[in-house]
Amino acid sequence: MDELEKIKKRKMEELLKKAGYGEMKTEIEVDDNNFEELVIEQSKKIPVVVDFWATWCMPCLMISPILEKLAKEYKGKFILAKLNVDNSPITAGKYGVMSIPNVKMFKNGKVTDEFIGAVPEPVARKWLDKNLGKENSEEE
Amino acid sequence: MEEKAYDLIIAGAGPAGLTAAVYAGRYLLNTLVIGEREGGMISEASEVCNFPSYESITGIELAKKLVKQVKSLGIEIKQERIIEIKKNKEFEVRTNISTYRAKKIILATGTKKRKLNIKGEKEFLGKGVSYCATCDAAFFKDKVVAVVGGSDAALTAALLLSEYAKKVYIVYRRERFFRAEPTWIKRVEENKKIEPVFNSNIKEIKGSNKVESIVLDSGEELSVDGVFIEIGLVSSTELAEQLKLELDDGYIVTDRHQRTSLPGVFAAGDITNNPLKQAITAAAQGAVAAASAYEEIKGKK
Repeated sequence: MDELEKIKKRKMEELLKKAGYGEMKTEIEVDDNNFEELVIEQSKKIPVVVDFWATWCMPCLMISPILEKLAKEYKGKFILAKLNVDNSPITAGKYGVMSIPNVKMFKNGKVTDEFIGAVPEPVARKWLDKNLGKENSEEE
Repeated sequence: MEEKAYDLIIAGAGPAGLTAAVYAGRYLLNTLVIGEREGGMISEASEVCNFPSYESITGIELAKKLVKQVKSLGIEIKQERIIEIKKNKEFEVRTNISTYRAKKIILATGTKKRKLNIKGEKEFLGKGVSYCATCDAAFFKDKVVAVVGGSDAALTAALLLSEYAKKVYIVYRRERFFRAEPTWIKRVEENKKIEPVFNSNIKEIKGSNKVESIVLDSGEELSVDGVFIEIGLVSSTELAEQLKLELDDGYIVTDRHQRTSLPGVFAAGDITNNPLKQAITAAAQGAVAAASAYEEIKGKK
């Protein structure tokens, strides 16, 4: 029985990979060099939530684990892209980031919504549901 | 709506509320913690050096350890917002999600940052208006910024900003800094980038897409790229007011047992009129509040 399960699992993974889901991650790190490809281009296929943060920003360290948890939970509904503003000042400047944590929703290459500051988990969840369409969250 | 009954409901999940929960857990009280933010305001402290047994720990680490300790005792922390507390035979706590009942209540909802409540403040949040200098100072390299306030928090924010910005105004309503620590005042006075603007209040924050200027009550307009608001804290007393608790300058009055003016309601931490608003004093008050609640519950059984 165990062997059968293993085969099933492997087959499933192969199928997923074929369909392009194999390498899909729920969370990625982005910077000035790959922002265009990993956020702008990718957001034309799937919503990308960019978390602008920095190590010295305590509220950022509060919101990041909440977003990471939600990204896992909402697997496949959006990709969480973490951008350290300290290492990627060009992108932060381009998007007018003057206050962090700043979390922006990218769809079709554009910012469609954002929030600033460490919000409690239920508020972050509500924001995701609003932006990803309520029906998405209920499919779970 | 289904109501769940507890011995004790603790409002607030900072050091006061969580320590109360630890004690309540040890007393085997059926306890619920309701707090929107696990860990509370201490989570925002970059470094805590005065919590015994830790030489230095980040606020978020301290908060995480506390949360873990509470959960290990089997106590649930619900991230809900309390809308109303009513006293009938027992207490009825209504949140944005559900309604709960409890024999005793501990209020430990702490403080939040005071807002200016002026035109432009909300509109330009994240577009030049900030409440966290440590988070945002680096975005104002070679820019002109204004800090509003005259406390230690305001002066330390100005000093930090002066490392990045080319000019820092400190707009303060009094004629001099008298509330801040002398060390900070001296450092501000010696700093050539910092210019205090005394006897002034901000009336409006102006700009198109982002902050461009501030208007003072004198009518004078200063060109700035950022406004950092550090005008202190305000206690979260909505619930205390609903319960008509005795307040002292906005903070809840308690006795040595952390009892408030309403029987069955205790208060702990920064929300009380204690003389020292620190994690350690909040924790101590939380412990006393839980012990007092336990004594009263036990006495009734």
